[in-house]
Amino acid sequence: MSRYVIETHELGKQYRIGSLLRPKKTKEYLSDLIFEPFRRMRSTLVGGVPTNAEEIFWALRDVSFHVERGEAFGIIGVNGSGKSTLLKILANIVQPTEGYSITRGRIGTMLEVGAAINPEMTGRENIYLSGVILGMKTQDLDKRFDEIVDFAGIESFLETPLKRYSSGMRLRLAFSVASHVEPEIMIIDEVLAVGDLGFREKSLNKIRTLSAQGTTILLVSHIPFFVTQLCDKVMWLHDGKIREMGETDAVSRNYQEFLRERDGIKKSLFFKEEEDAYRELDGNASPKKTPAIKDTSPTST
Amino acid sequence: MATKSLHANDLDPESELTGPVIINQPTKGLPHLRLGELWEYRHLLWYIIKRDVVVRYKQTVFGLSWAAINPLITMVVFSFVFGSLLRVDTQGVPYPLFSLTALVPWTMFAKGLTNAATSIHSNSNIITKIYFPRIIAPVSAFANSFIDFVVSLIVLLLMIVGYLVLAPGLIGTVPDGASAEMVEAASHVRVFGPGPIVLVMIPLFSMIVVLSGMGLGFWFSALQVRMRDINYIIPFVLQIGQYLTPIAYSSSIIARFSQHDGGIWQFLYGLNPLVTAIGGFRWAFYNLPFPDTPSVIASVLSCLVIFVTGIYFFRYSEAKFVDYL
Repeated sequence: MSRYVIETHELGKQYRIGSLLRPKKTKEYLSDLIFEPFRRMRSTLVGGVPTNAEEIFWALRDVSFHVERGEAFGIIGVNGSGKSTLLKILANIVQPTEGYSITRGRIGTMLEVGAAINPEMTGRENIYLSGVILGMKTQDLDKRFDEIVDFAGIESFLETPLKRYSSGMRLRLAFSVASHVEPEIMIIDEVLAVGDLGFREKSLNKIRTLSAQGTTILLVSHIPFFVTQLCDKVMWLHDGKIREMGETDAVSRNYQEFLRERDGIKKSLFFKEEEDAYRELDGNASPKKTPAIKDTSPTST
Repeated sequence: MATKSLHANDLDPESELTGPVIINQPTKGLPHLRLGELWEYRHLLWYIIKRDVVVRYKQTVFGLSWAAINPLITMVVFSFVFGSLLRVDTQGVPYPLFSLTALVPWTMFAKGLTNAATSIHSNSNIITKIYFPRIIAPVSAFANSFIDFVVSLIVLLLMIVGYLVLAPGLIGTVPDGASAEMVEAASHVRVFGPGPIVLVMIPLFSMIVVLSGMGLGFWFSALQVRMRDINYIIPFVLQIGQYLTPIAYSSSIIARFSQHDGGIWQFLYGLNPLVTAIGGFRWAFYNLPFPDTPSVIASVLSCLVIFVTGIYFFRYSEAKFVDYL
């Protein structure tokens, strides 16, 4: 049982979604003005009873899976399929409505880069702040400080408040800190979808290095390319449920076929990148296991 | 749902992973307080406190002295209105000292409560993206007003020293035409009259302010996540609280107002924990009468109840914070 680093059992998360903007009749409006506060108070304090403006929605239902130690596990799915909700449950940020999840080991989350960053503080202060928030001790941060600064490439801006940074610099700083905290489980959400090409390449390599060093990686993306590049195993979430789970190539091929069919795509520029990757995959041995040589070397995609 | 319940000891203890085992499942019944977790995350607590101090005074001219400017200006206004115009009885203490001694803990309470109440909301960018014990947010928000408290306490001490050096005659005197009773009361006034015991008692009275302010902060911050109405309620609560707290006046008028009722009014008045805290401060600093026993009992009880229920309510609510942010 315990060789699994991540485990979930019949995980479900229910949300109440509001439709407050629904047009109302004057009479309705007046009656809501009087009764809605009571309904709301009851619903916020007691829970369970949806008010006029609410509907129930399962963002995730019946999701059971496990990830072994050192595995790189990918999660794909269209927008709104429950990927981020699942990650937030695993990262202990959101509590599930039913079922449970277990994680073993220190978790480094990279849910939307830049979370812990404070615009009023300097680059140096921010490195410490976000490092500590991600679970590092100050002594460890002292040791890794130069490495973090170096990776981000912001030496000359260390004493500048973050609000004066360009958005790219902020991003580099945040990624650099998050990837240097040495987590045992690294949870990455759509991080690779932002940043310029060079930076993407660099971060992709960094994640590969971590994976090669035995860090368990959980990568979420709606772009299958990143997942095929990094992961051993993939889960395809659809409407909050597991649609397919297994070998990366097979699952992401099916997923792409589903996308093409759904949106009627025949020839596309966006899909091209992935087609190239597949050609490469079919030709050579799987490139995803190639260990990174150097973090900074720009390798061709 | 066939969901089995899990406990940490069901899991293999021989794991070589250094990190914690985290089980995330729906909570039932009374929440665990998990105060040990606060200790595990002390680095984070310290950093969030530091961040708040740094951010608060960035790009300000006066910096940390704002901590003292606020109560000092209120003191000047109060001294004019209540001291000079209304001639409130201060039992022989110069009015500026009398009111500042109350304003220093009151400001900590008011600012701390206001900051703590919105702390979950104002930290939502990290709360929605990373796990840490959520209670760190209100605790660190209150800790910031505690830092201000220490600064303004030093200013108060400097003012007392100033009075002792420049105008010692003003301490312990009453205005012309005062009753014999007031003259008698004023004759007991001594700076730090109770002796070295004040070194223990001042922290204890401060503790009452901290516990009640933080406890209310837990309540309000947890409620504020779901009901933004709290933003409108707090200024109102504080405004009323300022009148129900002996800041501009002395709590001795309550005792005088209710001499023959066995202390029930003092007890009710003391349910506001600041009554005892401020009375205690004035006792420690100027040897004014110690707060009435019924008030002290009520204050200690109410501050403990507020604090303990506050923690429980916060722990109970925190699981759903992110759903509402």
